[in-house]
Amino acid sequence: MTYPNSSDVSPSQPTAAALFNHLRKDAIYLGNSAAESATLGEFLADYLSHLTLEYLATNRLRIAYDPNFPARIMIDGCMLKQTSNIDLPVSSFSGVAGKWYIFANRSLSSTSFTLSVNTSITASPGQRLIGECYWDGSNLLANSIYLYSEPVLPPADYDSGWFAVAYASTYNKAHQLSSVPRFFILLHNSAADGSGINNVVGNVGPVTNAKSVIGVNATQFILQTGNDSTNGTLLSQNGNSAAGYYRIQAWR
Amino acid sequence: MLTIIRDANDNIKSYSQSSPEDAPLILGEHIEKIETTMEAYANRFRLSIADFPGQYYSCPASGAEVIVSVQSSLPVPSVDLDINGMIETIDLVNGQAWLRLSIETPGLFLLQPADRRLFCAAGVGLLTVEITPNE
Repeated sequence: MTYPNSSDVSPSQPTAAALFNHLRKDAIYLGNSAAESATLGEFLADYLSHLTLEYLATNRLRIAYDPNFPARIMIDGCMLKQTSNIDLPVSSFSGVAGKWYIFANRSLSSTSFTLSVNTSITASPGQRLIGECYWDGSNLLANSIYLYSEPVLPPADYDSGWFAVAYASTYNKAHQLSSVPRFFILLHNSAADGSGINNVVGNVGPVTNAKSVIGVNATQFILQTGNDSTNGTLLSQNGNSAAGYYRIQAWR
Repeated sequence: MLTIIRDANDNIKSYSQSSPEDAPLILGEHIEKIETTMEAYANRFRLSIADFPGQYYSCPASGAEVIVSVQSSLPVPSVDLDINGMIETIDLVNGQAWLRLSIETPGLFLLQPADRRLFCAAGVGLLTVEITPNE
């Protein structure tokens, strides 16, 4: 592919159809054929950058303005850019407790956008769904504000599921990651289905000689529970145990 | 599907939600696969106090009586319970029985199934109760 297809035109040169078509192809398909490329508008239809949502007292939302990194978003094919703080109007929430959806809205004759919320997830023309939050019937819960484009912790690359454990025992779990995981966590639960308290397992008993339970290499986790019939699998402020269930989650 | 790990003596060492490939075996261990849930398998033998299984429980010698619930979802009339190495047969009614522990003397009670080939002494199948001295 040659890109750009079009080239400069001399002042007295007549504009030929080929010149126009090359220019159009460059503008819409970045020089590619229509059969092999979506249009630039289609490609950027979901574009969104530097957009952050924060709680604004009382019961409002704000997209704070940073002149160096203004929020930019494509709505209905229009390229919009923030020029100041964008605040949700007062009294936008009402009624019974429930989940509310957050929309960015374009306005006629404006290159910026506004915020609105609705209990319906369906975006109307001129709207784009960007997040959600929770209204408890009286207050917007600040920690419930969730922007869909925010980075989220990905699912674990390895999850052992729950397995029964007892004190003074060795358990091995092959993780099949082919490398030492960069991060992992070991949880203890007293219920087989994980419905009890999830305690992070640190050192376990005997209390006078507490030690870590878990290690890992490139192929497997190696667990050795403590030789302590009271705290051998969990030594915690939330409770102690010589049995229960472990679960390992690891990220590559 | 659950993976059941048995030791060289055929005793049930653990049961797990993970696949058999996740369980490298050591020292004569072998595995079984069984179509059930973790909760259903755990209910084959369950020890608890006040509906709290799988946790260490302590009580002062002058405290309230300690009653251990012994439950089994298997159709057995009784289970043999290992209490600090002593085997006691517990008759079940509708799969459940209650055992009153002596709280007169401080000390540790370690309760687990005597038949390790039938029941697992891990998860909710093992319970530690400590009677602590009066302050």
